[in-house]
Amino acid sequence: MTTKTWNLFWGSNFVRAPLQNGVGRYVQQLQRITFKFCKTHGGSKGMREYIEKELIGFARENPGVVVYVKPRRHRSPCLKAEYLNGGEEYISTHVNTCEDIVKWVEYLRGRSGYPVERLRKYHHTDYPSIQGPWTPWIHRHPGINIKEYPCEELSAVQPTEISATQKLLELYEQQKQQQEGVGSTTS
Amino acid sequence: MVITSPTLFARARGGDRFWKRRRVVSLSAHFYGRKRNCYTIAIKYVNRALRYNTLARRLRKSDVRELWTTRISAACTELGTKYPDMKIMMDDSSIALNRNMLQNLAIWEPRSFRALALLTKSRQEVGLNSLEGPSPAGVVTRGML
Repeated sequence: MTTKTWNLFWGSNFVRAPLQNGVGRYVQQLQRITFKFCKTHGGSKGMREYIEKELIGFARENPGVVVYVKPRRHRSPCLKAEYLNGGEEYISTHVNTCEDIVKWVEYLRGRSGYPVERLRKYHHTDYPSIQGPWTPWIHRHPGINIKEYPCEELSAVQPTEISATQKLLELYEQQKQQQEGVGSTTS
Repeated sequence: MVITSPTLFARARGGDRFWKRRRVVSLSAHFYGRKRNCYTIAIKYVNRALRYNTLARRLRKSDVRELWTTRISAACTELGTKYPDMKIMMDDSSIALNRNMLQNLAIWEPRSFRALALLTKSRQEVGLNSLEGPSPAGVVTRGML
């Protein structure tokens, strides 16, 4: 499958944290985790090993997470994680080693409940502007608010090019300054 | 119980036709007519759409850059300067702002952008560090501090 297909199917979204998590206190988003396995089938070997060795340690380190263990005959092993905002993650651990399952559990522990989606931007801010965003009146004089219309001043034609008279006056001013500059350096 | 008979050697091939076609037809869900439902027709148009998608990655960069330039030029025109002049001013003053940042300033921090425009205008009237003429009003240069 191409990346485009993947992104179209799985969707895209902006970066977000549930309820501004992490801005103040960080709350672990994992609510409950279910370990489903078969007691006899070979595919659940890694899962059984994990439950024997690592599971109690995990439960002690994460007192806020509810751990369910479901032995079901003739089913392949899987992990099901549920999060505080209602999101769910399902991971099949069929024929996975104990180390693999440790890594998957750690992966689930750190996730927020949002689904895996392409991030449109890697940054997000609720306040993109400090000075206030652009409005059509931000660069205009606030005096126009109290003008009485019709107003001759504002209805006048806005010249785009300077007139010949104006140009001559500017040239005169420039010459005068140059002469003054020359005068000051020589004196 | 192991089956010891020639049927052991029978291969189970294929069986993927439905899923293969579904993957393709799911991409054509928004097309018109038979192009969205019939596989042999849809595959042609889906391939074209995917090809356009890969080619557009290059076009997007230039399109977005053009959009940024349009925005900056519009903001400059509103403030009575021009973008080429602003580029010259930024070059001389070693202000390294790219198009992306400039258009963001123009939209979200308009007063900062106005400061840049004023700097451009001042620089055009008399050179900022020139000894001729009066120093422009409202502009603070390094030498003053």
